[in-house]
Amino acid sequence: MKLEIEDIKHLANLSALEFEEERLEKFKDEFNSILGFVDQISSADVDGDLEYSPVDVEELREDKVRESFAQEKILENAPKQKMGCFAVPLMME
Amino acid sequence: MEILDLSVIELAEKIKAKELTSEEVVKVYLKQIEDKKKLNAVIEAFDDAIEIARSVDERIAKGEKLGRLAGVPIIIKDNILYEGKIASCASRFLKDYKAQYSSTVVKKLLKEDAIIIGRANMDEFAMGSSTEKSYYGPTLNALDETRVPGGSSGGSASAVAGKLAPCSLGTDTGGSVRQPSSYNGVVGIKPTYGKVSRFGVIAFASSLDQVGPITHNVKDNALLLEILAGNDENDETTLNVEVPNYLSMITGDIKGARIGVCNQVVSLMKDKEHFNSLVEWFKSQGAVIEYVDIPDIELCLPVYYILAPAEATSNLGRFDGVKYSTRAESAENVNEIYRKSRSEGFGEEVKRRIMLGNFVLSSGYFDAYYNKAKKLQQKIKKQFAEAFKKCDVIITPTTFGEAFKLGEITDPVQMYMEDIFTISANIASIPAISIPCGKGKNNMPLGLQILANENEEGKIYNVADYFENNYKESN
Repeated sequence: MKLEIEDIKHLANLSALEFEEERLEKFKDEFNSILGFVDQISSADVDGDLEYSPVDVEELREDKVRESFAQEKILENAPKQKMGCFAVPLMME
Repeated sequence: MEILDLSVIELAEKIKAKELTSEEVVKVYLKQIEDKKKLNAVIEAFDDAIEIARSVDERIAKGEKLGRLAGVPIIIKDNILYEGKIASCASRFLKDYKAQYSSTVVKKLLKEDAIIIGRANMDEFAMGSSTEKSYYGPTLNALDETRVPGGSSGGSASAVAGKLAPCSLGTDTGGSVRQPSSYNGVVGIKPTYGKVSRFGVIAFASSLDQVGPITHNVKDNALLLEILAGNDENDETTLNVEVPNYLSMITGDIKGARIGVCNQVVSLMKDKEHFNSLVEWFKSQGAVIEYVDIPDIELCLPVYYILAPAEATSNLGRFDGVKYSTRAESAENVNEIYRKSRSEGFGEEVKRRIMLGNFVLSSGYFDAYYNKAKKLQQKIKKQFAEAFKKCDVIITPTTFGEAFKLGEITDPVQMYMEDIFTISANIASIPAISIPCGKGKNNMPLGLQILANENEEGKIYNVADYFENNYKESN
């Protein structure tokens, strides 16, 4: 598996990241070297009956109302806030 | 005896017996942090520590019954939340993020009246094996400042080795407590998955992350793990099993203990001679050596570099420039907020792993990578379970050798290889410790890793404690 610059740009877009053009080539090479490394698993056998399940949950906690964080507390770390909400620039004119 | 030479257990006893005050102990360690600033092991010392220590001393003077760590200083890794303090994950993104609540592990430390004196440097978001990838600059190895302390809990390990604290907390997703412990000549454990609550620990790979204590000796480590461990209603993945008294499981005897040596691990070693001498030593002490096979152990590393980035990309999705800490100033609309804040906020390695995670999770590749890696993980777990039918513990080196020089490893894959011996414990969800086992040719420490089956930390501590107390004498 080898990715091209365009694939890297696509992945960056999916990841909400951007790179300077001159960094892309090196990043692509390093990325491909990592993919070459993880591709080792492609030749490994897995028994047909092996299944993966998400982390075993021992038991779920009782669904009861508990005290939560106060609004001000949640907003404490927001870069911008307005009237008790997270504030972002206008999305529609 | 000097305060800096006292173990956690000794400090707790002396403070309780009023032979020492917590205030003087805390002041000695805070001065160490100041004097050894060059190590860059601690991002921030907490100045309220002295005041808290004083209040512990007052309560002791009044005859109140205090916790098992009353007055003892401890440093926590910068990804563990302590209410009101910054927890930045050594990332520019979270440089101003103040914890709105305390993690379960911090609550447990405070319940035992420990004094948290600072937060330790780390690789950004715990992604790295050298603590060179921190927004705050690299941490130096406390024993040789031209070398790395290992990572990602390099600050926590260097802080203990450099006596900036008698103990610390790290987190271990692929070896991040054990590899730095090995490089700094200290003791660090990665407990069974689910043994210690992850509530309030900033997530990297949720199915692999565990908090582990770093100490100068095995008994201190056993005491700390006992305090940290246990079921937590805020972390559904914590195990619902009773936490044993680990100290009482240390018998001072390993006669008849079955020590496993994994054939596939031996073939990966660069220096077999030193390891073989350890195997011979165990034999001479009356332990039984069992050679075991874990045929797919070498695949743990590629499996890890699929599963961990896949989980990391999901966990780090929350850092969007809206809710936490920083936002790119130049962003003019909401998509730019996401993209620019993340691009400016994350370092290169973090970006790499986010992209790798998105790649292995993307449609078309999901089955070949993520799904297959999960199946291989099951297979490797079964192979470990089979091996542990023949032995009580398995021993391996913690790393290839001594700590490497700063700047020596720049290739990402070569850096990933650093975790080759430690990573299997995370993939198999089992506990593993690193303890010092002599020095290499550069006079830097080497680590012995001891692994056991799930929930068998007691067996690990018993063998580790025996080794610590007896190995030097007979060599």
